[in-house]
Formats: sequence, structure tokens, C-alpha cells
Amino acid sequence: MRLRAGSAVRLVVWTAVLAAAAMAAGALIKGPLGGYYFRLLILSGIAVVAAVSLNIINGFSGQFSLGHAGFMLVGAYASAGITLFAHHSINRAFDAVGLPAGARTPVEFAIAMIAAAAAAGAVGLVVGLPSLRLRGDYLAIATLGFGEGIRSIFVTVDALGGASGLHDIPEYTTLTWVVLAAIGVVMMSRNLALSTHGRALFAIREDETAAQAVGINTFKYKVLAFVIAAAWAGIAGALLAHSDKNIDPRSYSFMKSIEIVVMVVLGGMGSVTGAVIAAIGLTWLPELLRAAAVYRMVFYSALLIVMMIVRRQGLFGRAELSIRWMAETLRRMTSRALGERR
Amino acid sequence: MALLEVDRCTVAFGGLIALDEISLKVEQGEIVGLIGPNGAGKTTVFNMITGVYKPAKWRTMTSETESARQVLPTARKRVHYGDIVFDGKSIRHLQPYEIASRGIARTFQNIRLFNNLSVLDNVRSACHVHAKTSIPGAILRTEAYQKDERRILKSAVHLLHVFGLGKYKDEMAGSLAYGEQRRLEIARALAVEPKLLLLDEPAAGMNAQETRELAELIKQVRDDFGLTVLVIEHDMRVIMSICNRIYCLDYGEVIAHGTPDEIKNDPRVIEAYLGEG
Amino acid sequence: MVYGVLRLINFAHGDVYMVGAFIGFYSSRWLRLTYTNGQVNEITPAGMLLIIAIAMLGAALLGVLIERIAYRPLRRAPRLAALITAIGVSMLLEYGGQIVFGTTKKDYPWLAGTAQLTGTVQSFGGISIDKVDVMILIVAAVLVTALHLFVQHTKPGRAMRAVSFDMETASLMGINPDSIISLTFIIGSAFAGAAGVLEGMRNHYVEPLMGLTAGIKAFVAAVVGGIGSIPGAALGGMAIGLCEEAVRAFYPQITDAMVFGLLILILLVKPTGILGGGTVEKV
Repeated sequence: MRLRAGSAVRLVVWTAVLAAAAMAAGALIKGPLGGYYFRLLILSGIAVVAAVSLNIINGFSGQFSLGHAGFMLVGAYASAGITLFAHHSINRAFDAVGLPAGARTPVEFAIAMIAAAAAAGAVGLVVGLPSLRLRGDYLAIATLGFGEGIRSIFVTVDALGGASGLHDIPEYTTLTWVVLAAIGVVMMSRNLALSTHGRALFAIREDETAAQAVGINTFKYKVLAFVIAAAWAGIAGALLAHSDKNIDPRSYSFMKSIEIVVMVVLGGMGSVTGAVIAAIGLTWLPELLRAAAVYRMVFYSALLIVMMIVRRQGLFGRAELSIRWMAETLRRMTSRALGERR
Repeated sequence: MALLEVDRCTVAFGGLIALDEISLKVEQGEIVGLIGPNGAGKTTVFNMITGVYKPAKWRTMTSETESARQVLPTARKRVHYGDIVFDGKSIRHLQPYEIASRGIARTFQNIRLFNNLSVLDNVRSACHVHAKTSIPGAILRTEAYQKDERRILKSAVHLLHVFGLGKYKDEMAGSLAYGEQRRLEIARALAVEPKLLLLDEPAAGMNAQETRELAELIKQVRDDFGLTVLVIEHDMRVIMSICNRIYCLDYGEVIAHGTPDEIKNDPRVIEAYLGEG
Repeated sequence: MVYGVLRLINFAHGDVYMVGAFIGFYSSRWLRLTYTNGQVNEITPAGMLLIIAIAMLGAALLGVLIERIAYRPLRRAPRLAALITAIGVSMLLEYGGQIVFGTTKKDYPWLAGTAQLTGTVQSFGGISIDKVDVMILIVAAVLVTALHLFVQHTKPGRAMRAVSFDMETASLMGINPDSIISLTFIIGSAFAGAAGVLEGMRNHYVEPLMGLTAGIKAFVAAVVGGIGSIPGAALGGMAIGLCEEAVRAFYPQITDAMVFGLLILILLVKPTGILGGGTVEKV
């Protein structure tokens, strides 16, 4: 597999530019606006990763997973396992290689996140395989069960902190990492959607029998959706754990899974743009409504019901925001304004 | 050697025998028709060939089917193992998508398009079976991936033009008119680059003019793409005008088989369709 | 029953159960059916049956309301949308319940004579059964049997079965699917309400979030026993309950997870459930 020289360079340049921008933004925001808003940005980014990854299962392949928080939890523990328990061995390896001090934390965190993705992806495989036999509502409940099952495994094992979870996790998550992860998941989703593999997923969503009839290996793709989505969810979990500085298994319950599902549904199942906007919006909304205190959750659930009745395809349906569409709309609006003036 | 050979296959759903040790053969380059009254099992034959149903090794008999009453109220009778051989190899045990990749494509009685995908994507989805890129390649947009995508786009657009659907390529498949949807389904099936094409009642819901055009289209497609066609139809004009041979089914059995002229005059066929007397 | 007819996992079912429990609680207070005996409030068996009846009524009303407002507009929508709505209704009831009822647990009255440790009825060679449990078993048996007979031998019951099999054809046969669905919700919610009271009587407290896992487990029980079969659901309920208690004795943290494990096992091995029968999809 060879990247064309041009596209490889472009990839690196873009990543570097965005990383620098994110770092600058991070420094700027943290100062004047304070930790509260900074944390909200971090949480928004993590929500984007969680929602866009879930969109691959729910939106692209048409399956229904209610256990996404379970994958996040696996990633959280896996990454913490590296940064907490493997910290010293890794630093010894750094000494051997002669890595400068400034680079150590990012590299260690990168290793932790790879571990998180791998572990969560493996669990995604375990969950995805039996899911081949299930459809619709049954699949939803089964994934719910898997999510809770995963959680209870972590709660029972005392070596991993048991019911009280893990504490004293180093705060490695920065806005840069979060932005990079969010961009990564969005780009990956977009490229997948535009490719023949993405079309295979969409075909499965539309009509699984017909998809088989045109030669699509529905089994492989349905499981693949789970694995890819789970891996990214693992990264989201790693980011969250290293921002919260602890892992409380209770907060990775099916309520959290449902929150992510709500983001995907509200944004429009199948739409990456929708998932991004809904994830950011729904992270900020409860905070903005904080004044309403207890009533805000009631409002939130009423919103859900109304949304389903009035506009169940969500904000974007299956559409995506694209530069071309925005340019078109802008042009139409301006020409209409100009026309009226005359 | 025949391109497709079905050898004494039985398909049963519990006590209901849908196909009873049926056999049929399709030679390369032929257009073979499959006719019979409703419920005879024609679509079941398609489903069996494409792997949706698997031929049975046993079937359950109820006291109505055989006189097993003296033995047991429901007994299991061993039937011939049954085999489906395509292009020299047995496909009996394969999954539907594997059978499709071996070269058998089909359309459905009730049109199963990907309604919320564009016309172009409907066809491109069927090109997937010949796609060469890996998933990492797609995500990273490698050179090989982009070349493959261009190739897929080109063949899909070409196919759409052949079927007169080029101007609809970005429309939602579900928004097309009925006749166009039928043609799209056939175009999609052809994107699989099959050797054998199974058409399930392609003329359903069409008027006389459309039916004539469809018949011509099938013949042309067979010639241009070097295909073999097995077609289920109720419309005798289509069957008689394009088929080399015809099988007639009734109650899960082949009751007659031969050229159009032979079938036309076969008393068993007439009885099956029109009843006795 | 609701799933069989609507093919919708009613996430709110557990919360209707919760509301039923609370209705039972408040009616026992307001109708002055409880009296203090030493440290606790007690209620007579007759009183218990009365609050069950009231709770069933209230729950049935709530169920019909939910169906009309939230589920009916989505009758033709993709099932996923209905599922999301059900989740929304569930959340609404939970958080709404927290506002209306407060978040602290409420003490449920005890069945007369059981508050003291000598509340047992029978002792079979070392096994003792609480009076409360006997009442629960009796009520459950009566309700389930009544439902089974209703579904099998009455005209509305047959109509329900027809609608659960194929709604469109049933409507062509002259059955009004709307009234049947309302009926299903009335009965289903009433039963949930009764269950809520029974649970309250047994555990001696109620709180707004008690319906969360209960609703899911109810669905699991239905699937394990076989969707579409009333005796199956009863069997599933028994199976889940027994397994739960067995696991709770040794590994209490994984009780809930084990219930889900059972669900996944059944879904993989025999998805139609123990007593259920499946349908083949026509291609």
C-alpha cells in the first residue's frame, strides 16, 4: 500500500497545522475563560468521538447498539493500565532510546490510546459476532446487556479497583489530543462513507438480503462496524479517564450509552455532521440549562419525545454538510437578496 | 456440462414441502423460463439456488402427505441429498454473498432496491464484489484505492447509460418510477458481472409496450454481456418469445419441461393453469 | 404482551411499575388503610388487595396516556424511532417522578403480622415462607391465569393475538387495531402497576428509579420465556427470579449482568424463547 507522495505530505501538514491551532486555542482558552469552559470543550470533543463512532454502527450499518459506554470503559481501563501500571517500564524504554523529556508524556499517552483502541476493538469483536444472529430490538437489548456485563466485570475485579474504580490517573488529556481525535474520527468516517466499503455498510442498512444478493459479505461488515466503532469509543474512554483523573464504573452505565445514542439520533442517524453538532450541542445544553436544575432532565426527555414525533430523522437526516452545499446555499441566498433589491 | 444443474433438491419448511426433489439444467447462453401457477415454488427455486434456503436432507411428513399414518403421525423421511452445481462446483453449502461472487445475480419479485441510496450508489454497491481495496487503503485514500474508485465509477455510469438510467444517477432510487426501478434492479444485478442472471417476474406491473421492450432488453443483455438467463414469468408473451426452454412447476414439482412449442401444448401445463375440464 | 402486539420494547414499562408502586403507597396513606403497630406501618391483606386494585387502575390510565401521546404518532415510523421515544418516556417518568415524589425512599407498609420475625406461615422442614410472599404468589397466579384465559378464550383476546400476528390483515378482518392496542396497554400497564405494589410490599420501600432495571428484566423474562406466549412470560419471570436469587447469594454485584447473560444466551441458542414459536421471513 503506497500513499501518493502528495497526499501523504498533505496529511502530515494538515495534522500539524490543526494540532498547532488546537494547542494555541487550548492555551488561550484555559487562561481567561477558566477551567470550567475548558473542561466543557474537552467533554464536547470526547462526545464527538463517541457519537461519530457510534454513528458507524447505528447510522452506517443500520444495527442498533445500546452498549457503547461499555467500549469506552474498556478503553478507559486499558489506557489507565498503561499510564498507571506500565509507567515505569515505559520510562525505562524511553531512557534506553534517549527520548527527550518533553516528548515523553505525549508518546506515553499515544501508546496508552493505542492500547485502549486495541482492547476496545477486541471487545467490539466479541460483542459484534453474536450480534450477527440478532435484529432490531433484540440486538438493542443484547448490546445493552453486553455493556452492563462489561461494566460488572470491572466492578467485580478488585485488582482494577472494584466498585470504586481507579483513581489518581495522570491528566494527560489536552485540548490538542481531543481535537486530533475528533478530527481523526470524522475524517475516517467520511473516507469510509465515500468508499466502496462504506457503500457496503449502507447497503446492509437498506436491505440486508439484497446486499447479500449483490455479493456483500454482510457478516464481515456488520462485525467490522462494531470493531471500528468500539476502537474509537475506547479512545474516547481513554481521553475521558485522563481528563477526569479517575474512572468511576457507575458513570459508564447504559444511561451514558443512551446519552450517546440520543446524540446520534438527534443529529440524524447516518450523518457524521449531525453527530458532531448534536454531540457538541448536547454536551453544552445541560450545562446551559443548569439554572433549571432538576427540570432540565425532564426537559431533555420531553425534547426527545417531541423530536421523535415531529422530526424523527434528526437535524440532518442522512445528509452531510459539505463545502459545496454551503457555497451553493450562500450563493442562492445572496443572489436572492440582490435580486430583491433591484 | 451445464452451467447450472439442480439435482433432485428438496426444500421443506417444517411439514410444508415447497420443492419436492426437483431437478433442472441450464446450459450456457440459454434463456430458460420457469413458469407455473402461484405458489408452485418458483421463487423458492431462486432462493434455493442463491443460498437463501438450503436443500433439505430430511423432510417431515404429516399424515396428509404420505400414508405414514400406519407408522407414525409425523415421520421423517430421508430424501435424496440434493445438490446444486454451478460452473462445475457445488454451491449447495455456500452463503448468498459467496454465491453472488461466484457469478449468480438475481432480481426480486418485490423489487428490493436500496431506496435511500442514489441510483448510482445502488449500482456501485454491486461493484463492491470486484473491488480491490482494503479498508485501511480506503480510509487513507491511497493511490490504489483512488484508481479502483475511478474504475468502479466508470463501470457503474456506463451500466446506467446502457439501461437508459444515466440521467437519474444522483436521484434517490426510491423516487424512480416503477418501470425504471425494475431496470435499475437489473442493472444492479449486472454490476456483479454474473455468468447467470436470475430474473424474478421482471415484467410484473408492466403494460404491453413495456413488456415488449423488456423482452428485447433481456435478449440484448444476454447477447451483449454473454450471460445465461433463468427467468420466472407469468406473462406468456415474454416467455414464449425469448425462452429457449421452459420448465413448468406445480406444487413444488417439475410437471413439464421442453421448448416453448412443446410446453404450449402440454396438457399437464394447461391443466395446472386452467384446471381440469 | 405489549411487545407481541406492537413490536416495541416499552422501556417505560418499568416506570409505569414504579408509578403503580407509588400510587399504592399514597392510596394506603390517604385512605387510611395503614395503622401503626410498634415501629412500622401495617396493612391488612384486604387493604393490600385494595391498593393493588387502585394501583392497577392508575397504572392502566397512565399506560393509555403514554400510548396515545407518545407511541401512537409513531405507529408507522421505523421501530428505532419508537424505541427512542420509549426511552424518552422512561426518562421523563423517572426524572418527573423524582420531582413529584422526591428522591428519598418511601417506607412501604408491611403486611399485618409480618413485621415481627414470627411472620411466617408455613415451615417445610426448615424452609419458611413469608406471609407476604404467599400473598404475592397468589396474586400473581390469579392475574396471570386470568390473562391467559382472557387471551385464549375471549373475543378481545383473540383479537389481540390476531393483531400481534399481523396487524394489517387483522384490521382487514374488521378488528380495530387502535382499540386493541389501547386494550393491550391497559392490561399491560395495570399488571405493571400491580407488580410495583407487590415489589413495594416485599422490599418495604419505593423510590423513583426502581423501575429502571425492573423494566429491562421484565423484557428479558419475556424473551427467555418466548415472545407471544403468556405462560412463557410467566415461566421466564420465574426463571429469571430464581437465577437472580441464586446468584445474589454468592456474587451480588453481578446479579444484573447475569440476567443479561441469560438473555444473550437465549438469544443465541433459541431466540424464540423456551415456549415461543417463530415465523419465517419471506424473501
